[in-house]
This record gives sequence, structure tokens and C-alpha cells, in this order.
Amino acid sequence: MREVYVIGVGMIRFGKFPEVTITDMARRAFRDAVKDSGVKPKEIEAAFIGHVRQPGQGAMVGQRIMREVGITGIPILNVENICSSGSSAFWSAFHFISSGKFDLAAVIGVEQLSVLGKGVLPPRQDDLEGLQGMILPSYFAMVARRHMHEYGTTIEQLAKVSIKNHRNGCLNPYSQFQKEVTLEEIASSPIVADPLTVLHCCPTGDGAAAAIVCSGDIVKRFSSKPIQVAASVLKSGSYDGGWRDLTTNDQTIRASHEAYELSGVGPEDLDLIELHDCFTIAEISHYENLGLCEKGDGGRLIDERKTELTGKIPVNPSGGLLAKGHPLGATGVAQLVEIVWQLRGEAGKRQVSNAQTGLAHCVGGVVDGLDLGACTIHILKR
Amino acid sequence: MAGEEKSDKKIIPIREGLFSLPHESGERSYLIGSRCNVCAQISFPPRKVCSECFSEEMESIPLSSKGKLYTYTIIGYPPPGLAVPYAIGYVDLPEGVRVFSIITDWDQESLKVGAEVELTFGKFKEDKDGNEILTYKFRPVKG
Repeated sequence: MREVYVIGVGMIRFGKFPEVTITDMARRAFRDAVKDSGVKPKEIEAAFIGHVRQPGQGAMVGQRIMREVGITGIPILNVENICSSGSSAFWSAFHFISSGKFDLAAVIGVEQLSVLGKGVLPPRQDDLEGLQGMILPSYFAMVARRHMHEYGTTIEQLAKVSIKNHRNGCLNPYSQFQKEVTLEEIASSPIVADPLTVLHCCPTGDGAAAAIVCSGDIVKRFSSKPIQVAASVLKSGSYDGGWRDLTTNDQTIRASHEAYELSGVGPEDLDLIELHDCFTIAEISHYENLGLCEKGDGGRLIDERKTELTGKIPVNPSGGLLAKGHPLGATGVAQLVEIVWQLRGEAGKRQVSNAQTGLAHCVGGVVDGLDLGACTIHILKR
Repeated sequence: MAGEEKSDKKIIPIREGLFSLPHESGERSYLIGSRCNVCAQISFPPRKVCSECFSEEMESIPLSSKGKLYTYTIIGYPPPGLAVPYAIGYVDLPEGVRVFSIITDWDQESLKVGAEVELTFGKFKEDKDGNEILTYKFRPVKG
């Protein structure tokens, strides 16, 4: 297997842009990534596009995007894994390059949720849960309730995640929200699914992010500061119709263990993490799933401020999904963009000092009987 | 149960095969699980293929009508067509099966993690023709 490097990244600010097209958002992110990488667009051998095919936007989004930037005829693969679509597209590119099929590929994640209107994303009617009134926030609300019951986790500890990530978002020009929130504002915002209020939930929105990825064989031609992808792991949720422990996300544990083993990097070696904080409870639970602390101690980790920008292991310096936003297909690629910027020392006011190693974690998609649908872990090294 | 009224409105189960209909044979209605005849794995909703051993020899069995509330939430921001607030939760049945369910007849006192809950049936909503969509629900056991 060959080494794989990220040599260029780009993204647009996340937000609500119903007036622009999805291809135009993707085009701008891709253009920035290509400029950053120094490759000639025609040298790109394959493109992997993460997108969730929202109603009205249809299929073949990847082909439409690549047509706009003048790259046609090459293999283009559209990848849908809901919240992990972008990172699953990246995983695909990694493994095609690692195995020797291609030397140079583009990864683009893009989504436009603003055209769907306001509110929570509609639940699927072919799942029994969605049919009977389950909404995505309610799954995490139930995880939160059980975590509080079993481990004494408090709503204030959950709120601190939102406070931290919004504070980080203020330092990130690409963040959808650039405004701090207080404990009082979080508590008094409208209830989505008790105990989670709106400010415990990530927003919906639009965005695009892109990365240019190449093999170790050709990396020296392009970049003096390449970032190595030390591990790229994708897992799906396992079926369990029984008494599963909902406070744990089994696939995050399985994926991170494999990524740690492949890269020789352990949780104690990481300098920063971008993880899937779709809801505040998710971040607390993933501290535990990723091995940053013992099971049940996630609330204490945020109390001890260890995951703050200046803490021992900064989590979501970009603002995370809670503040930076969560345009599904774009999210996983944007996490990788952030880590590349951090490892190069180009993250501006939110720079984690002397960052050498970072982990990106993306997981999502409620499927009846599964502990969510798909999970990716990527470990990047300077 | 409703359904005694003279009306051309029908009662339609939310999905076929999930529960025995309340008006059938006067027996207590129940949730229908599947049990694998090879490895005895029990599932709800019923499966066509066993998740453990890939067998397709599945039989239908009635599931217990009482269980424990593993966790729950009260929805404040509904999907289209539903009125808030309503409660949903996961109910652990003695068979080792976890059932997603609407929780009904609750108050702040009775809605608790670990609460004993029992099966009931009721209207989920009306469809566009005014027919009643019937579903299973669980409610806290009184006293």
C-alpha cells in the first residue's frame, strides 16, 4: 500500500445560500483547493463527490460540478452516506490512491439544505421510527437522557460544549455562526427534543469543501508541505435489535481503534480533533468513544476545559458542526480542510500551537436498529 | 377502542404485520415479533432473515405487553403533520428486544427512565380521507 497525502484544500463559508447553485458552491471550493495544491486541473485522474441528493437536486451532482470546472471524461463517483458522505468520498479517494489505481484525485463535499425550507430534516417514512414521529434530534435527546441517568452528566456540561464550539466559531471566518452563546441563552432557547434546546443542535445550511489528494510517489512534484493521511477508516453501524447501550457509539469505537492501530498514533498523541458534534451530547459521548477519557467521564472532560482551544486536546477548533454548520455532504471534507490548515499552521486566530497530528471523525444517519449508519475516522500527520 | 362508531371511516394499522388488530377474535392484541427457528433470535419489527444466522425460517410470536422504559424524550419541534408535545421512547421487553414507541398517558411524575410501561393502542393520526391510522403505544403502569 502506498502513502497518501493531501496537497491542497479549499472551502466556502458555511451558511444559507438558497440563491446560488450547488455546482457554483462546489466550483469555488474546488478552485481554491486546486490553487492551493499547484496541480493543473487536467492532471486530476478521478473525482469523488460527497452529496446527499436532496429532493430536486437529483443524481449526478459530481458530473455537473466537474463539467463546470472543465474536467470531464474521468471516473467520477458520487458518494452518499448521509452526514458522512464527504468523508466517505475522501475514504474512497484514499483507498483508490493507496492501492495504486490513481495518483491524483479530487474530493468534493457539497450540500444545499436551505432550499428544503426551515426546521428539522424530514424523517424517513420507511423506517418504523421515522414513521412514528422520530426526528434526528430526538434520538440524541434520548441518548442524552440515558447518559445523564447512568453517569450523572448534567445539562450544564452539555451546554458547555455549545459555548466552547460557538466561541471557536467566532475565530473562524468560514463558520456559519460567529457569535458567542451563554448558558442562559442555551437554556432559554426553544426545546427541540427535551432536554435538548435549539442551541444544543447544529444548524442546517449550505456549503462546500474540497481537497486534492495524491500518492507518495508524486507528492514531491507538487507540495513542500504535504499532510500525510496516516489512517482512513470507514465502518457502518452494526445491527442490534436488543438492549444496546445507547450512550456508546460502537462504530466510532471500532473505527477509531482501527485507525489508531493503522497509524501508530494513540489518542494521547493527538494535537487536535474535529469530531461529529451534531448535538452537544454527541461530543460528550465521542470523547469517550475516541478514548480521550473513560466511559462516563465525558462531562468531566468539558468541565476541566481540556478540550478548549488552549486545553490539552482541543476539540472542534473550527467551531464544529454546532457553530461552523453542517451541510451534510460538505461536513466531512470541511473537517479535513480544517485539520490540514491546523497542521500547516495556517488556522489564524484559532490556531492550535505546534499541531503535528489531528483526527477527523464523522458519523451519522439514523437507521432503524443500527447505531447510526456510517462512521469515518481519518488521522492526518504533518 | 374506537371503531364501534357507525362510520365509513376506516381504522388502518400504521403498518401491516406489526401487531394483531384489536378487533380480531376478542383476544388481547399484541406486538408481533419474529423468532428464528434455527437460533431462536427474537426481533421487533419482525425480520424476514435472521440477523444472527441468515436463516429465513422465521415464525411470528406474540411479544410481552409490559416492559421498562430505557430512555425517552418529549418532542417540542415536530415533523410535518404531528402536533406537539408528544413523547417517544425505547421500551425494553423481557424477550431482550427493544421497541421504539410513542409514549402515551404520561405526566412529569410517571415519565422516568426505568419506569414500568404497558402496551396500549391508539390513534396516531388521520390520513387525508379521515381514516384513523392506528398504532401501538406504551404508557406508564399506574400505581
